[in-house]
Amino acid sequence: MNKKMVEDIKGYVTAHKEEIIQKYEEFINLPDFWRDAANVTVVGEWLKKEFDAEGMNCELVDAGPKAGKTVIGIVGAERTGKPVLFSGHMDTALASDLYPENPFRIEDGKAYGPGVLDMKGGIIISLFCVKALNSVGFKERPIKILFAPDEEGLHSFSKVADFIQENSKGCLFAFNMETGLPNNALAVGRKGRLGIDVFVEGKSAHAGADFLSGISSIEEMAHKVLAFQGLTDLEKGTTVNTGVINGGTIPNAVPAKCSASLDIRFETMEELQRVRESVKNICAENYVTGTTCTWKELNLFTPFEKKDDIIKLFEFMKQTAITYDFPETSPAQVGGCSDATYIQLAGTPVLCSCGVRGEWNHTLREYALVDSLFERICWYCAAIIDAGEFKL
Amino acid sequence: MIKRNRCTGITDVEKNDMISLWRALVDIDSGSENKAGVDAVGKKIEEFLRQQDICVRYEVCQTRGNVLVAEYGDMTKPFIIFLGHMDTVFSDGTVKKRPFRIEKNKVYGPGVLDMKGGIVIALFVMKKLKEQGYRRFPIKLILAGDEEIAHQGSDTVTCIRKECNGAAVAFNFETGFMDHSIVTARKGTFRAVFEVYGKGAHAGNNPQDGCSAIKEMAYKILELENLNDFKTGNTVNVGVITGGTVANAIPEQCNIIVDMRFINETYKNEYMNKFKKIAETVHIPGTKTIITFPIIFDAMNDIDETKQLFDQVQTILYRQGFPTITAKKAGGGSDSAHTTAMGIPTLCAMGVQGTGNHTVEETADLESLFMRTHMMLTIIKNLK
Repeated sequence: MNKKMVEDIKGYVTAHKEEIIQKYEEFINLPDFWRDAANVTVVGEWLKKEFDAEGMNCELVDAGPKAGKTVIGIVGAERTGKPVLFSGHMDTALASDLYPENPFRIEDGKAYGPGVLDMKGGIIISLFCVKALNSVGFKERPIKILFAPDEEGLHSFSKVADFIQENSKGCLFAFNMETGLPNNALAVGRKGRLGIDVFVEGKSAHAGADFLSGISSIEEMAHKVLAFQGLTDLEKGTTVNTGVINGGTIPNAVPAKCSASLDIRFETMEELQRVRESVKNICAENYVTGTTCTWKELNLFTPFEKKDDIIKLFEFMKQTAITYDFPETSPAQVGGCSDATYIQLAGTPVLCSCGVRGEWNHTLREYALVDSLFERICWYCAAIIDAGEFKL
Repeated sequence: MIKRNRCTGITDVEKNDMISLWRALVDIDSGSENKAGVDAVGKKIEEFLRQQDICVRYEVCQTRGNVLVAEYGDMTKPFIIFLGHMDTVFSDGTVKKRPFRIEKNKVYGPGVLDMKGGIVIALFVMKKLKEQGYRRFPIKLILAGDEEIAHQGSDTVTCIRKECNGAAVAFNFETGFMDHSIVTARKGTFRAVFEVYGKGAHAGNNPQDGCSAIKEMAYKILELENLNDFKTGNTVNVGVITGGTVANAIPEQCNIIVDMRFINETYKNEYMNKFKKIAETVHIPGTKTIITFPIIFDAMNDIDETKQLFDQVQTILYRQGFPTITAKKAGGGSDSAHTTAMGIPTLCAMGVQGTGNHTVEETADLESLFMRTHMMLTIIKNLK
C-alpha cells in the first residue's frame, strides 16, 4: 500500500483533465480504419512521439503491407522489477469515411467518434498512466506497451498474434485495454471460436419420375444440424450455432448437395476438444444411407481462459479498488475474441476490457464515458504502484 | 408370325437433319425464367416449320417464354394435339459448361431428354406427314414456355386449354421411358414454401438471446421426410434450403421449398393439411412459421378415354411389329394434366428415351429419336 503516491496520482489526473481530453480528441481525429495500413501507421507514429516524450524509445515493427506497424516500447528498462504491460490495438472497426472530418465530440459526459471506445480510449489511459507514474517518480518496475495495427481483421494478414505472444513473455501482469464494460467489470475470460464448414453429398434424381433413386442431402443435414446444436452446453459456456445452411438447386429434384457453416464458442480448450471430436463423429455418421460428408475447419481463435492466475489478478485489482476507494468491480466472462488469449499463451496473467467504459462498439453509436478515463488511470496506476503485493 | 420392324424409313440425310436441329435447340440456354432463351428456341422451331410451309403463331406471355402454336390441316375438324414445352430446369451458362454432345449412341446436354428431343420428333412427324400428304386428322402443335415451373404466374394453362378445345386426342412428347412404357396417368404436384422466422443474436456475445430458425427448420424437415409413403406413392421432397447470413449470428430466417407428389385429389388435401400442421408446431419457442403453396399442379387423371386410346395404339404398334408398349402411371407432372382434365384422351412420354431428367446426368438414347419418330408416324397414320 502506498497511499501517498496514489494520492499524488489522483492529484496529477485532476490537474490534467483538460490535457487528457485534448490528447483524446487529437488521437480520435486521426483516421484509423483497419483496412487502411497507411493510416494505421500514421497513428503508430503519433503514439511513438507521445510515448517517446515520456522516456520510451518506441519501435515501429513492420507487420506487412496489409497490416501497418506494431508499436512496442518500454520505460525504465533498467528497473529491477518485472514489467507491467499495457496492450491493445490501434485500428478501428468502421471505415473512416463513414464519419465527418474531426468527428470527436463530447455530449453529456459521453465521447463520440471512431474507436472512442474500441479502443483508442484504452490507449489514452495507458499513455496517462505512464505520464502520471513518471510525474510521481515511480521507479520500481518497467512499464511496457504493445499496440497491434490489425486486431479488427483478426491479424489475418500478419504474424502479429505470434509477435504479441513473444513480447508479452516475462511480464508480471498485463492490462489489455479493450472496450470497457459499462458496469465496471473486468473480463477474466473470453470465449474462443472455431468455424467448421460441413458439406453433405447425396444423390440427385427427379422428385417425381425417379424419386426412389434419389438420396436427400438436406434430410441428412437436418439430422446433423439437430445433433450439432445438441452439443451446446450453456452451463459450460459452449455454443454450437448452425449459422448458415444452403442446399439443393430446384424443388423438384432430390437435393444432391447441402452445406452448413458452424460457429463454435467455448471457454476452455477442454470443451473445444469435446465439441471438435463430436462434430467429427456426427459428420462421419450416416443418418440417411448413401450420403457422404466432408468438413473443413476454419480460423480457430483460442479462448482467453478463466484460469487461477487470472482470478488472482482480478482479486488483486478488486482489492486495489477497495483500498483506494475506486468504483467496485466484478469479474466478467465475455463472448467476443481479443488478443488477451495470446498474452495468456505467453504465460502472463492478463485482464481484458480494461479500456474506457461505454457501449455499442463496431457501430456509429459507439460512445465512451469520459469520467471512466480518469478513474481508470488512477486505478491502474495504484495497481502498478502496489504490484509487488500481487502474488500468484 | 409378326415380323419385328427395325426399319424406321428415315434416311441418313434426314437423321443428320434431326440431329442438327436437336443440337440447335439444346445449345440455347432456356431455363424457365429465361424468357429470351425460351423465345429463341421458339424462333428456331418456327424457322423449321416455315420451311415445311406450316404456319406458326404465338400466344405472347410477358414474363415467360411465349406459347408456340403450329397448325397443319383443316382445323375445323377434330384434331390431334402434339404437346410439349421448350423450357428446361437449367440455369444460364449450363450450355457453355456442357453443350450438346453425342458419345456412343448417348446424347448429352441440358434438356436433351426433357424435352428437346421430343420436340424434334414432333416436328419431323409433322414434316413427314405433310410430305406424305396425310389428311385424316388435322394436327396442332402446342409448345409451352414455362412448364418446368408449372406455369406459375403466367396465363399458359388458360391458353393451353383454349387451344385444346375441339381436340380428339393428345400426344405429349415428354421424356420417354427406357422400358417402352407410355404414360397414361401422372401424379399431381404441389409446392410448399416454409419460412421460419427466429430471432437473431451474436453467436459469441449473447447466443442465449437468439432463436435459431435453422434448428426449428431441421425438426420440420425430419417431420416432412417422415410423411413419405412409398406404398401409396405419395412422396415429399425437401428440394431447396437456405438459411442464415453469417456463421457467427444465430440465424433469424430459414426457408425451404418442398415438392409433394400426390396420386389423387383426396391425398392432395390430406397432405396440405399435414403440411400446415407441421408449420404450426413450434419446437424452438420464439420461432414462427409461414407456409404458402405457390404451385399446385393437378394430377394427370387416369381417365377411360385415355385407356381406350392406349388400347388402340397398343394394337396398332403390335400389328406393325413394334416392341410391346405398356401403360405407366408416372410420378412427374406434365401438361397432360390439362388435356385429361378436359376429357381428351392423352398419351404422355412419347419423346426420346433416356434417364437422369433434371440432373447433370441427363442422357438420351440416340436411336430412340428415329425409332420414336417412326413409331409416332405409324400411330398417326393408323389412328381411327
